[in-house]
Amino acid sequence: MADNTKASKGTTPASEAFASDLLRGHTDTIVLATLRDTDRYGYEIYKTIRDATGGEYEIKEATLYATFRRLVNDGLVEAHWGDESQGGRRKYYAITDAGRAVFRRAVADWTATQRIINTLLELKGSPS
Amino acid sequence: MTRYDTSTIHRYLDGVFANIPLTPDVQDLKEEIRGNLAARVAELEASGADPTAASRKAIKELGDIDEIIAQLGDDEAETPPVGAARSGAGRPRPHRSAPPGVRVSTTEAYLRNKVRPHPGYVARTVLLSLATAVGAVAYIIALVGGDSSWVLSAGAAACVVAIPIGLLVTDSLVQETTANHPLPLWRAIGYGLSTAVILGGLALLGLYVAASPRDAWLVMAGVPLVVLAIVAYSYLGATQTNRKKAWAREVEHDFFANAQPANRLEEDPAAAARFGIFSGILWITAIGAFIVLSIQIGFAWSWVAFFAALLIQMALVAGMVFPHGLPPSSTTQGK
Repeated sequence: MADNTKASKGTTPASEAFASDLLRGHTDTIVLATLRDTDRYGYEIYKTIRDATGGEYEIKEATLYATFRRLVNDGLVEAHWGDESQGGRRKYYAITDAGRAVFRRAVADWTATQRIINTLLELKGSPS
Repeated sequence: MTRYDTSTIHRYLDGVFANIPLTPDVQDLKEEIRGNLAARVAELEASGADPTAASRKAIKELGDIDEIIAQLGDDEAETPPVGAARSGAGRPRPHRSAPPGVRVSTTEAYLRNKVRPHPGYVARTVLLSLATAVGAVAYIIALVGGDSSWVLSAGAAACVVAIPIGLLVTDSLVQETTANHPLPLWRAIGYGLSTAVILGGLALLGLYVAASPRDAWLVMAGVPLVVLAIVAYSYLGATQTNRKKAWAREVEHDFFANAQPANRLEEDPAAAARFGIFSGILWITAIGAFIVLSIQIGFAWSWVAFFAALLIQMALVAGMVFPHGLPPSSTTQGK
């Protein structure tokens, strides 16, 4: 698992660059998705995203911190500190009702967009 | 038990944050990064890495921290909208730090984000309101009139009130409004059920009070229903999270940031303490009086104790907010 991340960091094929460009626009939604069932702290969110894609896609931690701030400002998530005594205390994020509503909307938008793009791409590929 | 080399992380963070004024926001971010680094280091060590190497690796993976810190300052100035204001893309966004008067007015923000109610929802609301009105009238008639089976008819009427209002509550909470996101369905159902249950309970207690021969079962059924609903409300209230839209939060934030400097409670701790003590005495007395009156005279009149206490409380609030008949603004100096 650790090797995976190292590998993906070193090499960036052209196709992956395109994909991550596309993915970056959905960072907020992806973070909200990780929080739907349980509260998580920053590194946990990072790891969840990385592991869910088998290390294929990882959001830069710097990007994540900015995302957290934005989500908190907009009231889509709420932050609270954990009670770890050892090491650093962890800042946990919890999704709010507003966050759930925005997430649902974003998923609906994406599904619709995806369907349209798929249709259009198939249209172009099919013999006329 | 993982024992990791924390000093590397601490030294690193202190170095990075060395030249930055330690505002609460910055301190917060520093602690958060520290916690995340510690988690990563612990994970690396669990997979058998050397403590110092693990710390270095975690720090390297973190990437450009300065970028994050730089954003902290910018954040105060502008907050990117989340799915908001497509029409207003060309115009500047209201700035958090902008002086009062420069920001977009509340009305403008409201109009830009306006959400029209769903026609189906409006129709349902009208129908349910009609049902409620019919039920309320039937309930009152049953209360006043002395029909033989009036308890039954009044109970049925109460159901006609409680159920539509419960449905109304649920229905309104799952609607998206101009300022609020819709509530998740199960929460909305919870609020609706609690409302129906508490109304049903209160209706039963009302019947008990109005009946000439007191039916004990009305109280035995009514009180648990009311208590149950209060417990449910408390749970829902305690677990309720934000559902305001981003623009509404911003307006609220601006309002409080530019509002008159606080109220008297915050300005004058002595007055606040006096107010608290007086209120405490008042309500303890009211509860005592309620108990005594309930035993001596009965429930029909003992509620007067609370009513009187409420009146006195209002007078207390008025006296607190407007000392010596002066509006609060004249006693405060602008901040």
